[in-house]
Amino acid sequence: MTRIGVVTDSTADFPGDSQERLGIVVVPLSVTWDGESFRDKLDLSTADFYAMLRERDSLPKTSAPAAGLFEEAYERLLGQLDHVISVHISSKLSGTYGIAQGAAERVGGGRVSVIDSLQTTMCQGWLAMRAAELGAEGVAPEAAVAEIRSWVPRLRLYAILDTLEYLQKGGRIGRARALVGALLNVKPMITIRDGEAHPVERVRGRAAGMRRLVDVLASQGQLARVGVLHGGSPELLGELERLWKERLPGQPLERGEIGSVLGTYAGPGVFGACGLLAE
Amino acid sequence: MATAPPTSSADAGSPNASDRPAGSFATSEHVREAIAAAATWLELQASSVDALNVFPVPDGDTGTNMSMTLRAAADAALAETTDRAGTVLGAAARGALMGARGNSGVILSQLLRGFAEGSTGKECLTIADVVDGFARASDAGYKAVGRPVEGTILTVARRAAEAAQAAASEVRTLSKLLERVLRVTDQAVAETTEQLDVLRQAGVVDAGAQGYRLVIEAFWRVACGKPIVTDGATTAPAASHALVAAQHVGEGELGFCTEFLIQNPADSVETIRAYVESIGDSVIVVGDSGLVRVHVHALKPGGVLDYAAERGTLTRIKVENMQVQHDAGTDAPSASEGVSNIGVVAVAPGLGFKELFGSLGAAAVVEGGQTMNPSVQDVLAAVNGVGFRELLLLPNNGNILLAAQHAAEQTPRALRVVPTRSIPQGIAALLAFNYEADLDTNAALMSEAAGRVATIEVTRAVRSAQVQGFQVERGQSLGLLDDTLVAVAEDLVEAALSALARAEPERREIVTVYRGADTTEAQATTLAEAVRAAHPHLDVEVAAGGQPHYPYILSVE
Repeated sequence: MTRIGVVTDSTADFPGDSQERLGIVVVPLSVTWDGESFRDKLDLSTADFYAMLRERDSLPKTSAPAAGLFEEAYERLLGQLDHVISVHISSKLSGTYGIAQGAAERVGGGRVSVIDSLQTTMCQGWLAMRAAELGAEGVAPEAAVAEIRSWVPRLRLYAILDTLEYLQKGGRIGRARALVGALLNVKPMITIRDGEAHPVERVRGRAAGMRRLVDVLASQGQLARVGVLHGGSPELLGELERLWKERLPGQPLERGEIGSVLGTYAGPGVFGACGLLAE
Repeated sequence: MATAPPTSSADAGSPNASDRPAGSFATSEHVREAIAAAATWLELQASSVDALNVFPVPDGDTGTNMSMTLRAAADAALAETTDRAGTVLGAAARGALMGARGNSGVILSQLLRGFAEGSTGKECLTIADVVDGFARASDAGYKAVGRPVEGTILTVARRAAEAAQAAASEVRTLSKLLERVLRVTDQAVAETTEQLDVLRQAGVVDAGAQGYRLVIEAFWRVACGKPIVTDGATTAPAASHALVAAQHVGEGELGFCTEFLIQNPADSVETIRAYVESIGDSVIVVGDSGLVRVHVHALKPGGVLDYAAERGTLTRIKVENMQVQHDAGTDAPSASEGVSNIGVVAVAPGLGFKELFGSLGAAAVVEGGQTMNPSVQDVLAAVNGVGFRELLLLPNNGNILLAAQHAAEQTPRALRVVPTRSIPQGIAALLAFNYEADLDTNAALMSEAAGRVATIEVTRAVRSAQVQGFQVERGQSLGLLDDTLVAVAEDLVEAALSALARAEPERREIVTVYRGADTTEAQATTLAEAVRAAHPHLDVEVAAGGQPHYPYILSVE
């Protein structure tokens, strides 16, 4: 039986302890803030990150992992296993995927498959989890990679930002500029589609935002998996989960926290929902 | 329609003037004269028709809207140089539609269109053509309105058609025919008071009905050779209406193109020109002791209108905000940098709302609202001036809906009207715009969002009245919930709170207070605090709307 190892980067977010349980290796991006450098999720917990984001005037800078970190991870896994599936944040949002691909070419010897998730956060986490499950089931690497790739177009991610301030400050506003408005209490909804952030619509107030978030994701089609996400505000998930239970009774909900890389641009108070469309 | 000189041109198949007795037909020149007379007649009486407003709130623009619509018709008739009466009438109808303002203007343009329908290409109009015209006008009017209501302009149009039909075989001249029609329409207008509850309570006749009667009266006057003048008492307020609108539209760097006529000016042409030149540029002042035409570009139109109103009777007042025209032509974000292929055009009064709609992504904002209904032409210019092939239009006022729908029919672009009836509905609709959805889905999403918002308008009564079960005294504060009067109070805050109490506040989340042009931020904050104190669960926000006449507009969602 072929044994498969799974690598991802720290922009992937996981429900509960699934990352540890499935033995997924996470390569951290780095967060540089006021001259100090942190390894995402290792030196700086997500909770501390959001607390600092609220307090500090300056914004952190994030950077893709050094190629050496990927080479090291691939070499270590290939020493014990037959194949590595490496799943990453959309190549249109970060240089991480390109760096992983370069590392795979140098040290992989054809045994590392690098996948562009065209997504991030829990959508990316789901791909890594599925790869680990397929590996554990003994599925051949080619079949596992094909299945993971087939999931990519079925992923949906929507988020409601508390403010566009962070997206604007971070210089990543792009198309979402269309969502800026003079009224307070206007919450922009964004989505990641085809690997890029796009504006969806605007809502007045958080409560209306939660209802629209559920409406918009549920209208995408039948959902095989549903995740709820928050950024430094776990208290928001209670109401969001209640709305989902009303809409899709019996559907398990996977809880996740949006990590610091995405959080730098989304800002504190962001919440979201993600889904995997049924085949 | 005056005594007709026989014309020499003959045309097989159409009535030939030389075969007919004088007074029994109308030539192209008669049609031009009649439409121009109707426009002038309505201009002279616009303010008295405006005053027939059933609501004691400052939104009665029926007379002004109808006269501006007719003036557009008269200009188009003048520009059509043919000697075929039917063609001139058709041009007038087309002009009326392009210049139509407000619902009453659009309905009037449809009456004219109907009237013209049967005469296409005819050299002159016979008694039978005019009888047929009244019938077709009535039919077109009823068709133009989704749910026709009796006691309105439609009733008068129908009664006029019946009267014309009844008189057809008994009269030999157009003046006699029109006299019979006029007698019946007088009666029909008077009866409108009893046909509609709102009119009965306010003790007035329907303004649109009265407007149509005035049109018929002007036709009759032309046919009998009576002058188009009034006793003068009703003329001045027509100008003051335009003044109110003009002072509130705000100014851009380009200012306003202001045009008007002064009848029987107290000063000489030279004196008037000297003054106008001192306050603006592009000045044209021409005329004689009986009539002076003024054209000026000035930052504020109020001053020149005030000056002129003191020196004579103003007519044909036209004030256009050149900044808005300029913006509509140049500011539109190009589709290439936009994130959607769909553009949104909104109608809004006041600088604050204009900026607000712009900041929320509207591609163009047409200046207009309650007391200043934009014409179909204004809306079309904005729609055709933005770089989008697919468009959504937010009229944001019930009285602009019809003009919006007509603009939608006339633009080559794919345009959907989202029937928003208030500014808060318009903002809710714009916010609900979905960048991923197509045109029809967006129209549906936006209509739905508009429907979830309650609109409260707070103003002061402009006169005393008994209306919708309330005894209102001039100067009292009124609270309207979705266009229905629900509160009468001694102050604005009290009226707003009392209207809010009727808007199911317990199931609402956000209240936005839009303050009017004459309301300070401190005053608006006082209202916001009162709302918070009364309903602690509500999120309350204050924004500058800059709207005229309404110190506060509240969006409740």
